[in-house]
Parts: sequence; C-alpha cells; structure tokens
Amino acid sequence: MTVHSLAPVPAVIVPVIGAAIVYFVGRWRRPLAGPVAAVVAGLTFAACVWNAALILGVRGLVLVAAPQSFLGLRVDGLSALLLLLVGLLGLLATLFSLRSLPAMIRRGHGRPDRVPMYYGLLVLFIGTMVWACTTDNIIILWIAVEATTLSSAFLVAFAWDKRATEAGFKYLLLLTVGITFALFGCVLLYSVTAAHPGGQINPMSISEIAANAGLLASVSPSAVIAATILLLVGFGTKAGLVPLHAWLPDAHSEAPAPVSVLLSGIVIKVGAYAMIRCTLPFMAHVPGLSTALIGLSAVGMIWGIAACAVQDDLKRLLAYSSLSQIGYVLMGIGLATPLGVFGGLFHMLNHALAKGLLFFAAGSVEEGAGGRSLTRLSGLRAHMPITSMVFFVGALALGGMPGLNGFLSKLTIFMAAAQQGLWVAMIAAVVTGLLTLVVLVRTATNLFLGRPGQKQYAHAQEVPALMWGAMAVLALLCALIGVYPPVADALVGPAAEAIASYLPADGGSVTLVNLP
Amino acid sequence: MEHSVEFVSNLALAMMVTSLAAVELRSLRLAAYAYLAQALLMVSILLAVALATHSEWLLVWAVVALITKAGLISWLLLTYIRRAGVTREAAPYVDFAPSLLVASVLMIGFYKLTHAQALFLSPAAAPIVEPYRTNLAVAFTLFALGLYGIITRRDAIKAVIGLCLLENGVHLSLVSLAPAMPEMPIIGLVTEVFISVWMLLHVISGVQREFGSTDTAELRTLRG
Repeated sequence: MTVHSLAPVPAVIVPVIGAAIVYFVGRWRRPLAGPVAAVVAGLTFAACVWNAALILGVRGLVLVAAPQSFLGLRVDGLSALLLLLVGLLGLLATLFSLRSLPAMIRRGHGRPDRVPMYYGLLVLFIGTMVWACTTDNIIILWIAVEATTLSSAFLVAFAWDKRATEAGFKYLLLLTVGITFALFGCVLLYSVTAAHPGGQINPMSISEIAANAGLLASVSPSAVIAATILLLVGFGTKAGLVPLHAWLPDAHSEAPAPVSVLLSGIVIKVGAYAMIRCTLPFMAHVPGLSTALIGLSAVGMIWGIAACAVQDDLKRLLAYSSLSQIGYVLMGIGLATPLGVFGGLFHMLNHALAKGLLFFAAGSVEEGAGGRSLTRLSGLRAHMPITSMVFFVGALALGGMPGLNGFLSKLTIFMAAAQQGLWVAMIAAVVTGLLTLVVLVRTATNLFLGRPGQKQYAHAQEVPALMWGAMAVLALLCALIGVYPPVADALVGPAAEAIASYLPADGGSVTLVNLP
Repeated sequence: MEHSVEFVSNLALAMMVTSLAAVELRSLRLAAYAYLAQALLMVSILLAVALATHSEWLLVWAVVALITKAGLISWLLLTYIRRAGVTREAAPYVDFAPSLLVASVLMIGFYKLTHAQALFLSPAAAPIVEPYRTNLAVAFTLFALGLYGIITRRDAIKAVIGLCLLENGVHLSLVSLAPAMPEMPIIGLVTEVFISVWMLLHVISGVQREFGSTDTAELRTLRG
C-alpha cells in the first residue's frame, strides 16, 4: 500500500543541512562542534525511528515523498530496517566521538583544528547513507552511494599519518573505480528500461525496474546480463565482495573507532542494499549470477576468517572479520530464496549491532589501555571491566553462540543453503562460523583475561560513561534479539516482505517463530 | 550523416591517441596535457553528435563536459602536479615499449570488438545506429584504457589520470545509451566526479608528505 507522506524528508534533510551547521558552528566555537553534531544525530535518529515505526506498524506500507521529482524518496520495509541501523549507529558513533576524538588528538593522531571538519563530515556521512537507502531514482542511488565514499574518505584518513593516508588513498581510489563500474551498470539498466516499447516504465525508478525485471530481461537479455555484472562488480566493491575488497582491511582498521563502526556496521550494508535493489530482481533471469555471488561470498567468508586469525592488530582483525561476515549477507542475497534473503537481512542487522559493539570496544581499548596490539595487551579485565564484558558479548554474538543474535541469523543462512542443496556453500558457512567463534573468543580471552601484561599498559583505565554506554546499548540489543526472536521478526520480516516481489514466484514468507 | 560519422570516427581516433599518451607519457605534466587534449576531443565528439542528431541535451552535456573535464579537472591535475613537484613518474610495472604495444592492441581490439558487437549492448535489442555506434565503441575503448592505466601505473597521480579516463569512457557511453536523461542527475554526477578527483589529489599530497613520493609501491605500512 503506497501512501504519500513527507515523513522520509526530515531523515535526509536534517543530517545533510545539519552537517553544514555543525561545521560552521565548529569553526566559530570549536567545543560546540561535537554537541551540535550529537543533537543533529539525535534528531536524525528520531526521524529514522519515526519512519520505521510507521512502516513496521502497517503491513506492506510504502511511504513516498515527491515521487515525480528526481529527489523523490521512497521508504519500504527494507529501507526502514536500514534507516534504523543508520540512525542508531550514527547517533552512538557521534556520542562516542565526543569522548574518543579529544583522546585521539591528545595521543597525536589528528589535529585539533580539524575537529569541525570531523563532526561535519560524520553527520554528512550519516545523511548520505540515509539518502542512499531512501531514494527510488537509480542515478541518485549511484550519486548517494558515491557520496558515502566521498564523505567518509577524509574521516578514514583523519589521523593523516602514514598509515591513515595510505588507507585513505586506497579507499578512495578503489571505491571510485568500483563505483564507476556501477555507473555503467546503472546507465545500462536505465537505457534498457527507457528503450522498452510502450514506454510506460519510468526508467529512473528502481522500484519500477525491479517490478518489471522479467520483462526487461526477456526484451534485452544481453544488455541486462552486462548491466547486472557491472552492478555486481560496482556495488560489490562497496559491499566488500571478494576479490574487490582490498580497501576494506586498511580503511576499517585505520579509521577512528567511531568511523570504523559506521564503515563496518553500516556502509558495507548500504553496498549490499544497492545490490539487493539493482541485481536481486534479475537473479532469476540472468543465468549464473546467483551461483557466482554465492561462490564469491563463500570465498570471502573463508578468506576473511583466515586472514583474521593471523592478525596482531585488534582493529585489523575486526576488519577482516567484517569481510568474512558480509559474506553471509551476500550469500543470503545470492541464494535469492525467501529463507536466504531473510537470513541475509537478519545478518545485516546482527552484524551491524555486534560489529559496531566490537569496534567501539576496540576504540575503548585504544583509549583506555593505549594500544591495539594483541600480543602486547592482556589481562585488561582488571582495569576495564565494562569493556571486557561487552567485548565478550560482541565476540560471542558474532561467533554465533546460542542465546545471542548471531546464532539465529547464521542458522538461517545454513538452512537456506541446505534447502537449495548447496552443500559446499553450507559447509563454508558453518566452518566460517565455528572459526569466527574460536578466533573472536580467543582474542577476547587474550585481551581481557589472564595476567596483566607489559608495564607500559599498567595504567590502563576504564573509559568514560559516554563510551561504554554506547557499547552497552548494543550489547543489550544483541542479547534481546538472541533471547526473544520476535523482535527480529518485527524488524526483518517487513524488510523481507518488501522485496519478496524481487524473488522468483513460488516463495511464501518466513518468520523465525515457525521456520520450516 | 555519413559526413558526421566520418568526422566522429576521426575524432575518435585522435581521442584514443591522446588517451594512450595520457597513460604512457612518463612526464606527469605532459600526461596531464594529453588528458586535457583528450577531454577537448571528447567535447568535440559530443558537439558533433549533438549537431548530427539535433539533440539539445547533448549540447548541454558538451558544455558541462567542457567546464568540468577540460576545465576544472585538468586544472586540478596540473595544479597538484605542480605542487607535488614530481616531474617523472616512477617506472610502471610494464616497460614503455611493451606497454605501448599492449595498450595499442587493447585499444584497437576493443574498438573493433564493440563496434562489431554493439548489438550485445543494445538496450532495445535492435542495431544501434550511427553515430551512436562509433561513440559507444570509443567509450568502451576509453574505459578499457583507463582500467589498464590504473592497474599498471605505479604513480598515484597517474592512477588518478587513469581513473579520469575510465570515467570519461562511462560518461561518453551515456551519450549512446541514455540520450534522454534529465539534466539534474547529470549535474550531480559530474559534481561528484570533480569532488572525488579533488579529494584523491588532496590525499595524494598527504601521502607524498608522509612517504616522500607518490610511488604507490612505497605504500607498505598496511600489509598482511
């Protein structure tokens, strides 16, 4: 049911305009930049929750604002899920920054005069992600996804030292090359739709292209094949699909911790979101696309966890883990079955919460203990009890321990792969799950349990409330979803239903409470 | 129409030569000037096709391309090259003579392939008419050459020039594939391209200050 409403508009306008306000206020009075940014992030979160509440409350509701304009917005169940994640993690990251950024500058990783730019870009980054998830125009989707890269590049390179500039360069170059492939794909899709005889399909509208995917594929099969491959490469680069992932470990580990939360927690999901919107409708009509995506995601899972296991740097370990975990989401999309898509979207939610939690914890370790080398830090629990507890929650959640959220989404993916008879993919997913649990729990144990390590870290201390508060919120959510699955049904169900029409016809819907 | 097709084909050939120069020339300044020449030729192709098909949209596109590609982006490249003080790029992964050979083969091969197989990409599964067909072939060739440049060049600024070529290829293909697209998204698109090039060059200047050169082989702090 499509309803005209202006509800989506504040979610986009507030952060985009707010970013400029934050920047100029910061230039005027630097200490105000952070608090103003927090207020803007809070308002954005409120707008996102409002939209999500509207959508999740009425089954099958779609909100459109200004559909005739290229700036028109469209929020359905899938957009609502992403809006909640963007809003929540954006707010928590901004609050976390209020304490972590000054500490980072004190440690010498970043200049004080760049603080207004940091907060301005952070809020803008949030705004571009909201925009990407609410636009219905295929070229604007491209523009918004590229805008997320551009607004986060200087955030990644914020420390502006050797490592940060190298990471920032690779991030910008590889993602821009990738997104150019996606542009080719978007243009091809546009042209295929525009050339359709009868001309009734709006060639700019993603929802209309998706609704007519079968028709378009039958009219111009080769152009559609070319377009979907280009889009897979392009948005896959953004999502962290191997072999296009080379930028991910560097960018996610060198960025300041709150930015890493947004990178690993959200923006790779925005890449996956774009893939869902543009390629999922064509999965059934382009031979081999589904298999290719499942295969690449399985490789990514294994590769990610293998590289993860040998890392010394805590944040780089978490970055490789993100590479591995996004494989679950992409495998779910690749399977293109109701169970698979549900699992993929569910894992999007769970990974965002758990990985966000872990990156906040890594930032806390960096701030509280002063380092991130796994071989040199140990026994931090005595000094940082709260961080220790929430890190364990995050590690177990991501590893798939029953009782926390990750277990349920991973189980869904295993079952979805088995349902299609794809045993190799299922084994890859199961093995990755076990290895992830082992690696993350081992990391947590080494970091926090055991005897306190070297003397230079003897004065480690717990981080301020604003920082552990952000982590605690996410930990509670992980636990809540883990023990009370209907919460996930309420959030993910509408998202899966919104895109049920993209899948081949025989579906049926999925809810956790009565899995087949 | 044949007259304009021949004209576009000649422009296309000239454009491919300048693109090759932009990728292969070791002197960064000359490579940037080659890029400028290539951008101007691209504007000429857009104008030629616009006049041949009487398309107002293509005229707008040509003006936008002139301002952004030939104007702003070339200016950005030359300014940062001057600031970086790097005259010759670090030797790329492929030597000059073999690289020239490979790039030429790539170019000619791609051009012939896409010109002959344009049906594959045709949106309406109908043969693409001239001059769009030549235009599409040129666009693909530029795309391939740009990608080749990014992969084989060691110098960061050269990689950015390769990226600009890649993007020029895609934008040129817009002419053949999307002749009726509204202007505003296009303006947003080119603005973003400009911003991304500026940001890349800015980060490269940071890289240069930290590492002492724009040689990407030096970027080894993040391995494993």
